[in-house]
Amino acid sequence: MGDCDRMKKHITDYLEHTLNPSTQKEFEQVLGKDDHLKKITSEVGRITNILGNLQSLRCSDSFNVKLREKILLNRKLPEKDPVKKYVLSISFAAIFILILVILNPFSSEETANSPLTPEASMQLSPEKNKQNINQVDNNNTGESLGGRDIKTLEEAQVHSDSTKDKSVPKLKHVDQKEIQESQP
Amino acid sequence: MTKAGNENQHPQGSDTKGQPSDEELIARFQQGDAYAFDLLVKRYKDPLLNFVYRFLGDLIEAEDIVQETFYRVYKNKHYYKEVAKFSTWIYTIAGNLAKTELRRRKRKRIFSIHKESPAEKDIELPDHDEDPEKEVNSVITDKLIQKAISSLPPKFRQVIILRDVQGFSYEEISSIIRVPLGTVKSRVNRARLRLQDDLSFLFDDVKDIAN
Repeated sequence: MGDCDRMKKHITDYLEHTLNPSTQKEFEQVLGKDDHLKKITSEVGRITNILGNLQSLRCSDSFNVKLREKILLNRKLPEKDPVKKYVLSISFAAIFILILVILNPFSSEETANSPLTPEASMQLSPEKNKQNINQVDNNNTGESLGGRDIKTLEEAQVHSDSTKDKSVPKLKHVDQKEIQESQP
Repeated sequence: MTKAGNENQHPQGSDTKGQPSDEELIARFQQGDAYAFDLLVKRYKDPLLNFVYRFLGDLIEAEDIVQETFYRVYKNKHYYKEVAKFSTWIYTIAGNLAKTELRRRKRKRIFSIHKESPAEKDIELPDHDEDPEKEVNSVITDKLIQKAISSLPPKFRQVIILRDVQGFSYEEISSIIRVPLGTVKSRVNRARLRLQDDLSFLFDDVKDIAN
């Protein structure tokens, strides 16, 4: 049975006379003493013959007419302009990016809620924080505070009021009296 | 191995009988000769129908797919380059469409049950076969074989149809299904063994009757 299984993979080559001489000799030796292999080989040959002689089917008489109609129908349909398609997809991509920028998930609010400590976040982006504080200043007073010292005081005030963050290195040494004086 | 010279077989596409080759026809069609397309349709419609029908087991769907194949050829005629044979190209298109249909069926869980359709009345039996009993046996055998082919996994089904029903060489099959030559040979052998296993009873019955 082992020989038979091994030889099964050569059946097609044997029937098509494409086996190399040594394998063919071996195949024929097994074939001579193994009735099962002989039966399988014979049946595979017969099936191959049957498949080659199956009834042939013909397309219906209306095939050509239907095909012509199909071609004409699709000719009338406007074809999608590939340039238009690319322009559309680029526009969609641009809109998507714009929306992403507007609804930036890494905005300052998100940063405030980030797992980083306020100290760490300030250390990571001191410039950004300064900008944020300035923005808050402007919102609160409605006017620009031109002087450097006043700005620093205001920064300290707003920051101490809003975030209670007393860890900003530059603002630690601002005198509280000065802050009180600068307040109206 | 004997091969019947019937319409199951793919056209050889050569100009041995003074006919233009497939490649000449498609070149003419690419230059705007619509008659060349008609000749290609005439040459390939029946062999393609047999190929797709054996693959799907449904004649109406098979004809629709052959229509779609020719439509794709018409629409994409400029994609054909003469690096491959025209027959390889058109059979690849038809095979891909047939496989897509098979996948669609799987998705929709439609199991095609072979049913009598009006189009099947068009089946023409060979003229030389005048013995009615033989004719009936032939139809029964055909149906049994079609059932066995349909039960094969698609990758085996495709190669066995291309090789044994359509008569393509292994090299051509390798180009059509884009699979290495060795894999094609192995699949053909395994498909034949499976068919032998499924259809073995046919030969046992014949022996019983003979005894």
